[in-house]
Amino acid sequence: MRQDNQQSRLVIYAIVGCIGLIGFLLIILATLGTPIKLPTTQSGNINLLTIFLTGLITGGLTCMAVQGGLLAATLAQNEEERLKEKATKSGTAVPILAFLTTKLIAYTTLGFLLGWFGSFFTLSLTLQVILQVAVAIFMIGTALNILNVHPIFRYFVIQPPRFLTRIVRKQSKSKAIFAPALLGALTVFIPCGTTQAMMALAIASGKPLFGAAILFAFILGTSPLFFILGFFATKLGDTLHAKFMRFAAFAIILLALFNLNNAMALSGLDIFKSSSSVSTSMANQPVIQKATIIIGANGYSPTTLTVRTGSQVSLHLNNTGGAGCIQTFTIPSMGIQQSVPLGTSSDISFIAPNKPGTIPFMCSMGMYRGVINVI
Amino acid sequence: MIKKTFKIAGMHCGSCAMNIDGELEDTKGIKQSNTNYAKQQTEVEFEQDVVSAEQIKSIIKTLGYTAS
Repeated sequence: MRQDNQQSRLVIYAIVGCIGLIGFLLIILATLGTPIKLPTTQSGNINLLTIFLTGLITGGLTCMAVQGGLLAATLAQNEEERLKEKATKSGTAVPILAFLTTKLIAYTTLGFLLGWFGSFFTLSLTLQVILQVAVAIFMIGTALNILNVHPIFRYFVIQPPRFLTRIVRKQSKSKAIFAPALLGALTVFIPCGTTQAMMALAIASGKPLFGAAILFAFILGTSPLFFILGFFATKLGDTLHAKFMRFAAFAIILLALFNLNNAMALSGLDIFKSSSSVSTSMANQPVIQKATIIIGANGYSPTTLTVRTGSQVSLHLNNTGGAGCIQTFTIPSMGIQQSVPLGTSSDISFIAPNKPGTIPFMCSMGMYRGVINVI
Repeated sequence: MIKKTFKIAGMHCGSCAMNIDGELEDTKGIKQSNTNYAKQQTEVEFEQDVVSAEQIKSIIKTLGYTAS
């Protein structure tokens, strides 16, 4: 049994060592100030240090809503195991570290592939919507299990396969890290906001090593905040336990509903539209064929545009102040999604439909909504 | 060697299932144990001459769960 302990410990150290080595090499690249040259349509050079800082400061927050909720759900699933290790800080930290480590590895790999193969590896809008809905369902299922609503919700708990548990049986920590580790890697299928902008940068770099470095630097930047928030949330949870679990369950449900709402908007279904009917006041708006949309810190500007049916429409997207999901301008009903990283601009064009109506636009997470009126 | 299924009550999370399997498989006479958190049961393959069903139930009880 002791051999198993040592073996799994060695494996963990090896993995951490490799990541540290790669990270070290990439940071050297960054401090040498290697600028990453982007195609001429985009302005300026961006270096790895800037990307890291972007992740550190702004990158985490919109992502926390989706990925944080996912992490919370998996941590909640194993709360009893963690409570047994209440005495040690590592009992709380290790699952979160597992999540962040596999997430980092998965995204660096993705960056490598994006730099090499380009947009072949980005998810279609449909898949994004499906995954957001799946995440919301997972979160609600877990929350309902915590509240003991019905035994059927027990099926939402992730149990590792038997062969894995047999090998590392005595390592009680590893029981609690399987689910977070798996989900950390799977977050690569649910990128959010700024991550998508970084993925666009990785594609634009056209080089696998640069692509890997970009995503590595960014995800590394988002990790400290994630870790701190996750650590204190679970520590708090362990102290308050019973009451907290109820509260956590309701918080998870709220987050899940928020995600579902955004997923519905992204899907192009008009279930929760605020007001996208063409009102008479809109008739005074000039009909345009070309327009500039400024991506600012608080939203898109303007939020309404009017176009003629069947006309060719060109939009110049200029990001002067938008960080987070707003960088990925999305028109769900037309299947258009364009990442415009902060400080850059991009052009898109499409043909307006032949029938009058409304075309909502929004960020990649279904927020910051506006509408294009087709008359 | 026989296989018997026990209903388990009191498992609050997935790791509980793993704990039960770990403890049972370490016990002399038990060849294999397969605990399912969702179904709330465990399937144990054991040598009747070495360990009895009652003993298995009390092992599970010492871990904090009830078996039937």
